[in-house]
Amino acid sequence: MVKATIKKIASTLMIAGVAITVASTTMAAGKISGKTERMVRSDYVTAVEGKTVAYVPISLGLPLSDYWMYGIQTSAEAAGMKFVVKDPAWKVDAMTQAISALISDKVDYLVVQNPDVQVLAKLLKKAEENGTHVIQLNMASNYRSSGFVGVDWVSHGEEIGQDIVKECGTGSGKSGKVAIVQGELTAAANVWFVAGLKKALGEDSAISIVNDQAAQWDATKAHDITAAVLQQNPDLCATAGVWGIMMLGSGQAVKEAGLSDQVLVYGSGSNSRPVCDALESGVLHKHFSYDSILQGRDVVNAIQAIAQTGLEPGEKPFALYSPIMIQDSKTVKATDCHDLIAK
Amino acid sequence: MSRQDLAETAENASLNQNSYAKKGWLKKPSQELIVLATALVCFLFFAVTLTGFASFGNLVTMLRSIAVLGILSTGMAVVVIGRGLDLSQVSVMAISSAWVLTLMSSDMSLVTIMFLGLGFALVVGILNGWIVAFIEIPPLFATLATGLVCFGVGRWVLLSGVHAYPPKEAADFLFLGQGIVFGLPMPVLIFLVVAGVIHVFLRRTTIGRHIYGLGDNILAARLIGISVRPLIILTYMISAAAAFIAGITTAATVASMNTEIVNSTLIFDVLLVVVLGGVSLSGGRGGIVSVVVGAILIGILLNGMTILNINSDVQNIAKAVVLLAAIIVDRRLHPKDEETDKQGDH
Repeated sequence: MVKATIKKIASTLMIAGVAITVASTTMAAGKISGKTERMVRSDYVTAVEGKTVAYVPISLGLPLSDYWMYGIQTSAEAAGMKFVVKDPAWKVDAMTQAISALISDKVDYLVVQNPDVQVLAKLLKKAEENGTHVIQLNMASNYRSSGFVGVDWVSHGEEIGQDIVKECGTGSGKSGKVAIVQGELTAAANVWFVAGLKKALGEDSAISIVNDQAAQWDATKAHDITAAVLQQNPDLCATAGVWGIMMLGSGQAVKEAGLSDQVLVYGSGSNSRPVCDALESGVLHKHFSYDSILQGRDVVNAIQAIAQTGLEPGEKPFALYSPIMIQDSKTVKATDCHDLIAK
Repeated sequence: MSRQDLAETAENASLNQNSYAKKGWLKKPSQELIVLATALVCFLFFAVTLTGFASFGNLVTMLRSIAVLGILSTGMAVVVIGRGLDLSQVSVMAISSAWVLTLMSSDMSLVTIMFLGLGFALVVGILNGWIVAFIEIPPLFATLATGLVCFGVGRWVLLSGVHAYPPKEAADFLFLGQGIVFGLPMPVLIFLVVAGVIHVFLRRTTIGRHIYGLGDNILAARLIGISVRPLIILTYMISAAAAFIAGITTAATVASMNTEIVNSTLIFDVLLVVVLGGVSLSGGRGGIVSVVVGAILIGILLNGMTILNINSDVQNIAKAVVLLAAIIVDRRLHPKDEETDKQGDH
């Protein structure tokens, strides 16, 4: 009996001991967690706050670049960073001047949309050698800088190509004729998009590319090219181009020819209001969209990560590819698009 | 130079020119005929080699693709006949029409908005004419500068972006670019009406004939009592009005206006058509019919090359070669002399 009582007391003491040990360990852990939190916070503040993010698009005043600016500016300022923007208004010389000035100002982070693969490559390299991290936005150059944020163009083109093959290829009962409307022949986005598109189209022998011309990002040119192509190929099955706003011209030519039910018009780009309007009115059929405001936020997220890792510019280049959503004229809703940002 | 000297210079110059003109008619075919023949040859070549090229549908498509270029060119032709040059035309076209699209989101009626857009274009036209006529700045520099000012002011004050879009409910407006009347697309009809009106104006009205006089010999024109300065302003106003109409036609066709068109080669295409059509850059010669023929030649070339799937950069080379050939022919047919010499040519 006494033995049993002693055993009970001993086991109770043991349980109490374990409980006290666990409790004290937990408390200690709590203390450590709070300290870590403070360290993380203070490292973050030191690395991020007060740093300057400079943004140089090809031109402001377009839905795409205005959304980017909104995304970058709001996220950067929320993180305590300074935001600077330069608008070269489509002029490459103004763009190189702006970037050169930012290099000499030694800005911490430079976000650039390249007009083509070559023109800014050397300048971006110089910026990184000078200590500025360069994030290339959506349109990259031949120089691989700290980071790329944007669309994975080759697979993006491929995705659209595969959709066209499904709609127009073997077994569809359609002509298989496809017309490609390119943007600028030397723009990275265009080059890679068309490479992916052609790769996918080439996988079905029933598909033939009947026309492949550059409209230089101009809807009027896209309109005239498509109108001429339709005269020659009234049984065209689809026409695709890298930029939805430019493809509005192609879509209009298809509509004028009374072939909206037969010729599918594909575009890609940001989900801006004119795109949703065009999908609703049947000028465009499918638009492979990416959210440019979120791309702007991705840029700032990437910058915050770089800032805290302490990597040198260009030390570990990375890419953040943007997710794509397919907008269809049959299912599109007004809320799927962003309104244009007023000045 | 005394008044008498001026009169003598004018008389001599006029005589010189007449002798050139006579020589031209007697010894060489006119440029208009050469262009028409070239257009016919190109047309036959494509008609034989490309199936579907000569179909009615394709011809309408071709006319449609040159309609805007044609409208701009008829306006430019008036200025060039008066021995001027309007490099601000594409700026005026882009900004006035983009402003119209922007205003369409407001409560104003379409008619009011159109008048505002036209008003803006005419103000730039008057400014151009005033600088050229009264301050006597060569048109090359004057219009280059006003074009930049017009674009800058437009982007900064009037527009909120590079692109302008009409609101979704704009069927009346879009009809101007997308409608079909008597089997012809609206842009083609607008082009024909503008060309017709300007042709009659130049050939059948006194003021129109005075513009030829102005371009042929400004001193002589002044001496016979033509008010040359207001006339110069009028030519730039016509050019600006044509730019506005071309802008509206473009905007209504593709339901958007890309003001970046200012940085394109459009203004050179316009000059190409004007010079190709036999409107001499020395002024005083050519007519709207020949401009229409020039536009059609360019239309045939571009349409044929598009059907042949020739890259647009190569198409630009072809256009450039044609422009160069036209300027050389222009120079051969209308050799320069003291009288036709202009500031800014060298």
